[in-house]
Amino acid sequence: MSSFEWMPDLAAALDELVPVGDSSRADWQDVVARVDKRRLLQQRGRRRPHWSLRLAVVVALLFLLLAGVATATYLLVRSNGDIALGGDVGKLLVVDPNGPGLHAVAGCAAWHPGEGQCLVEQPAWSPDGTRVAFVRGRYGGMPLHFSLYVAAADGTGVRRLALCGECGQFTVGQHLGWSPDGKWIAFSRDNGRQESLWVTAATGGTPRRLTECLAACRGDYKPGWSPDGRQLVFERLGTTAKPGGIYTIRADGSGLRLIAKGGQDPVWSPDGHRVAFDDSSGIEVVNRDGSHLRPLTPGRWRRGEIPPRDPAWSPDGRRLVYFATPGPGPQESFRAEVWTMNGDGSGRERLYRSGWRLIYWAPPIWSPDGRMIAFSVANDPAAGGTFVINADGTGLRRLSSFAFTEELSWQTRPKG
Amino acid sequence: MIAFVRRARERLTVRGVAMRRQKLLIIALVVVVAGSAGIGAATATGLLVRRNGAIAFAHGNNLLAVSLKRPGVRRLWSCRKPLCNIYQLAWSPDGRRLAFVQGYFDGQDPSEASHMFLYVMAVGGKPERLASCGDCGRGLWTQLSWSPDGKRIAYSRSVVYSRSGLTTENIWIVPAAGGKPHRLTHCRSDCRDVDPRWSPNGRLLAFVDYTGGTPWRRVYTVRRDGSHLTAIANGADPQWSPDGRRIAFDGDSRGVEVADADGSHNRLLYPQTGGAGPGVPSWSPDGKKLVFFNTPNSGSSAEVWTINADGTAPQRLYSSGCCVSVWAAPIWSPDGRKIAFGADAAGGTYVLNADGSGLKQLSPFVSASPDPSSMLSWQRLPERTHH
Repeated sequence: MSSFEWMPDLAAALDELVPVGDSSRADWQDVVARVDKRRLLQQRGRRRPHWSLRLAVVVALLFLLLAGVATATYLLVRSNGDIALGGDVGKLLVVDPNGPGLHAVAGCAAWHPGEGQCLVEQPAWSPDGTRVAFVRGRYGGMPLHFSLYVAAADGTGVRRLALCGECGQFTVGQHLGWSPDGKWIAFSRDNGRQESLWVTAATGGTPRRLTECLAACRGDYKPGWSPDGRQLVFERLGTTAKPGGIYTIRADGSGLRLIAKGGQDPVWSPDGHRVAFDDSSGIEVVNRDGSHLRPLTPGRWRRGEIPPRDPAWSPDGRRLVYFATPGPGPQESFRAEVWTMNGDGSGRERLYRSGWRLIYWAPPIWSPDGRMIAFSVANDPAAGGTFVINADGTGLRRLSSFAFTEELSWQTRPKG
Repeated sequence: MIAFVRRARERLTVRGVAMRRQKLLIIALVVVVAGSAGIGAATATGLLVRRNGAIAFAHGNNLLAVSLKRPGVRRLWSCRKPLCNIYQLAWSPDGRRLAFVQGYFDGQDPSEASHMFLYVMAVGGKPERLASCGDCGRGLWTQLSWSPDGKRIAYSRSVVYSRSGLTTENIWIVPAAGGKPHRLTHCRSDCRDVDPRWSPNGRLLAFVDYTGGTPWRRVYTVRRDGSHLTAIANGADPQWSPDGRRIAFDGDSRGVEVADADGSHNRLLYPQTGGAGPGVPSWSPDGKKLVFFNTPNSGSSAEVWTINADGTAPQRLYSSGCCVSVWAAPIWSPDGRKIAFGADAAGGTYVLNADGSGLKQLSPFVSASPDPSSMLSWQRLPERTHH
């Protein structure tokens, strides 16, 4: 307890005293008494509230805090649902990462001799996990075209949304883009020569054109909505005269913009500021306005070697998972590797490596909660399959021996 | 307050009933729709026996077709210029178009330096030129390959390097509706990539790479974007099983072999006995059997064999008299019940049942193109159902 703390009051009191001009002992005593009295009065004015009120406030605050955390958890942390696989077995295949084996939904009609294969490709769960979109068609029959479908999460209520011809099948990768609000689906649709991007309501209706792929454009593919739902990023295949690249466009079809020449497989970062993609030098990242292009996997690739590809952001946006295919190896074949790295290219870590003789694969994707990664690798039938692995590289599990797929989609477990 | 809660509850129940009603209605609708679809499909499969179309083959400058239904040979197209020939041909998967290679081969016509072209022709229409392909793999056993969706054609295209005078061939892909061809393989020197074969799911292409070294030829697969070139086996004539999981081929050391699509689990189906066979396997549409051609001894008879996909039950369906020099590889009909083949020793183009019975001559011609072996292509008639 110090006189120092008293000083302001004392000083004030002394200031009051100054005009008096007397500094006798009695006056001084008087001053101290007055100051003490004033402090006492002030303290009474700032009386502490009753304990019950305080308790109520604390309880209310705690409650608010808990409710906030719960809401945030509910809104932000998503729980893992099923994994859907594209494939050439005529059914949409679905596997529960915690359950037994594959089950199949939404298949083609029975096969008859002379007909081509039925393909169910490009599965894409809606953001809320209640619906799944896919592309389905049968080769050899009439018509030869594929269509875009949507079904409920259990595979019932299959509904055709649009005829899309080739639906981007010739290029390798995911071609269906759900808008973040789950209302729209963007897809590639061909006019017999080129493919452009179209958008349809997920509940049906007339699709509308988003891009126009004309001369010096061989096709627009792999649409992805920005997290704010305002823009889409996509890959345009060009010609030798006019090379393609990564473009962005507003959801209303205006504002087409080239953000990176010659890239493929674009993916928005979860914060919407950056786009990761792959090209002849591996994985790169660019800001959404096309500025600050930076390679994340620098290296040189000889003829026949293939740089890493197919980046995917973790839900928290901190890390990227990607796929590498070292080779050609001793048997003139390739092997599969799954890697993760930070968003700036540091901290690279290999999670998985397959044997040689890789033929089909589905590039790695993150689980909705960001803790696991799923991928498919078909090489040796005994070792190949669809796998999940923890993001730190532990706990590799084979969910199914089926691996003749090129796309996976991990459902966010629906709320409620 | 209580009244309000009760009212809210009532509203919820009403909505619940409505929802349940809606659900019932949807279920009923689904049942009705599924039922009618099932009936429709059943009727369609009942009525629509998948008809085999015409068998097309090339004969000099003529593109000919024969049918099991009608007697005689039908001329689909003739190249009327002197010295012009038709070489490779393939029906589109929907049976509506025919792709073929036509032109002059090297040295025949000095006025036209690069000589052969890929055409596509709709049935009853005129051929449209799609691309120039130089030698188009001529002289090696090579075929055109439609993508399973009928949108693209893979073919072999040659380039002569002016400095070395060496010819290399690569696999190219062109949209069947016309458009800019793009190159799929990139073999650079002393190599010829021919005989592309699209996998049934459209994701991979198998082809044969001939080189001047050892092994002299090899079956490869490549992804449809041209990446991940993978060696499968030493041999030629790759044929995808209808489910796309296996590849049958002429193994160079052993005979007709089958491997998994990644080249593993390579196993011998039917051993080599001398002569020029066995070879040019072809899968039945259901994937259970293969048919192949055999010439047991050099300069001997032409034989057609079938064998189960696991190598059991080899069966000789046909054997000609001596001696075969021009022949067309046996192929299955689209419905899997018949097999067509051609051989000069047999005296033409024939069809027989898959069990070896019912041999019938379709035409007295076997292709007389410069290639020692010609090819047949069996049209699959358009189907009206299933999607």
